[in-house]
Amino acid sequence: MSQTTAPTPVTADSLSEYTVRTIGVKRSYKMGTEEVHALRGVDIQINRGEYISIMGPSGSGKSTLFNMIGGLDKPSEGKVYIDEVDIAQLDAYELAWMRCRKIGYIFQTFNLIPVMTAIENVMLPMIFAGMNTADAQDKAAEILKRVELGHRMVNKPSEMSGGQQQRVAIARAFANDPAIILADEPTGNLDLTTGTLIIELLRQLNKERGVTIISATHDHKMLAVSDRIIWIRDGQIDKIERREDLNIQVGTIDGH
Amino acid sequence: MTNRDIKSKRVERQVKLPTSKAVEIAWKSIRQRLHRSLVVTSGIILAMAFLMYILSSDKAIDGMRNWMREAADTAEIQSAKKRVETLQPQVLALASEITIAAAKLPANASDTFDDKKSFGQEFVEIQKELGPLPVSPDVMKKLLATRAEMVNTFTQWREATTNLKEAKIIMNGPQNLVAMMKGNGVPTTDAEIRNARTQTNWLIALALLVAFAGILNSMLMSVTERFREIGTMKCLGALDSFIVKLFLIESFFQGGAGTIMGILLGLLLSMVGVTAQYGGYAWKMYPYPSIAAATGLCLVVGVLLTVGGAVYPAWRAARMHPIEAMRVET
Repeated sequence: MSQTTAPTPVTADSLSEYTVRTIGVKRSYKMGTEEVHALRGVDIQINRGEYISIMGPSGSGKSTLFNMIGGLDKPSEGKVYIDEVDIAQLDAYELAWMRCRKIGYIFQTFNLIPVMTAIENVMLPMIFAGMNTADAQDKAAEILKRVELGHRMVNKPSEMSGGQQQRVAIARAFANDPAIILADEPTGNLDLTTGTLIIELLRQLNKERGVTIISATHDHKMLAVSDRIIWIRDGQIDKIERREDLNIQVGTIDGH
Repeated sequence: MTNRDIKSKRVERQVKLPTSKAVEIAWKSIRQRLHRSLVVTSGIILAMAFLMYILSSDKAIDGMRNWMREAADTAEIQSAKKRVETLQPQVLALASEITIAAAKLPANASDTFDDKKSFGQEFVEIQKELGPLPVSPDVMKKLLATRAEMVNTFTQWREATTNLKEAKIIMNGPQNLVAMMKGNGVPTTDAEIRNARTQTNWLIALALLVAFAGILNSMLMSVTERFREIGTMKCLGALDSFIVKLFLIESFFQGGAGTIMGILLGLLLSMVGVTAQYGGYAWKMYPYPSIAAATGLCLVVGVLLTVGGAVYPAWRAARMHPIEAMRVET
């Protein structure tokens, strides 16, 4: 088994330039007897290495789209390609492999495993990937140092501040060198300064590792660093903005 | 290039982790949340303690009944009977020797005899223990102060009386026990026992039910409060089977530990209980094999219930979509 090899060196660019691509994605839920249409046909293409924010009021279908892109949910209609693989065709084992190797998740509530230390939390995805403990330990330590937590490796989440916990979560998301990082309101539970630091860290990692970062957020600091912002409303794309356009907008909204 | 080709190149199947890895993680989790798991385990402990208490008390009383039935023929009781037969005349003879000697004492005899020093106990205390002395403690002091050779006679009387008393207790054991059991409302005759059997069985069934409910509740609690953790693990690439395995192993540890603690607690309580009620009779024919069988039964029931109780919640948790699992407020 090629357990310790880095992400598949299959020439992604030769196949396609898109890390994530959705075609006419629809998603509806049954709520009692009523049919709720969370997504009503969404087409997006996200390039490798892009930093994307998904915006939208609650109930807009933003979370549904976000989960779809993360392989956490399957569309009722349409196609979702992650790294040019149609996720609808994946079985449970392949989906798990995908979540483990291709995608790194960052949550608003950090979601560290409370009984594990920082380093054990970071090691967990590597263990799931089949890496042996010694290698996983070395690699986890290295990533934790990168997020400036070299001094808190054996601390439990409960012994760390929110910002530190989120940095452990970021280290964990990067554990298996994923192609995509999905961040769901990563600064939602953090104060302004800490939030800014987390956003900077994500942006740095995005640039130095060429990883695609997709985040659902309300945070204007986050929007400011995004390459593109996808606005969702009523289950459809309202507009897609590039950063160049946005800078002006943030100025007007914030009034400075 | 077709989609299938791309898929085969770009997606692999997630590796199945060995069970030892699940054991490692489960063990860590149990150790880390010892306090929390003690709360969960306490449900199991109490349930199993109740079951074990009922079972082992029942067995202990059965043991005593057996002893009552068979005691008359046992060597112990037979030899006690013989001892009573030989000791009785000896005691009488020694007592009359003392009485006769005391009658001959002069009226002004000294009573400076130090009974505490000679026998380790004052005559008054000896009397409390063995019943009335052949003569009153005061006369006894005078007698031994005047006639030193009588010390030996008294020593013999004391020893013989002690032995006689013990032999009588052994000889009358079964009757005493019957009286005690009747006093406690425990059936003693075969007909009574047969009638009471149904009641005991109901009690055992009730204990089982309590164990089942307690354990199931504990397991449901422990899995439900960790939905978020399960969702997270799935996002990190855990397979459903791994999560089920993790919880089953954890519940096995928890159930095993809780069951053992519960069994010990129940057994201890029942031992203390029967000893407090029946004293040494409880141990005359303590039914060790039945108690061992009851322990085994409780162990199997406890572990089966715990692991069985975890199967459903663990399976449900593992099958949940990661997002759903994480949406649960904790």
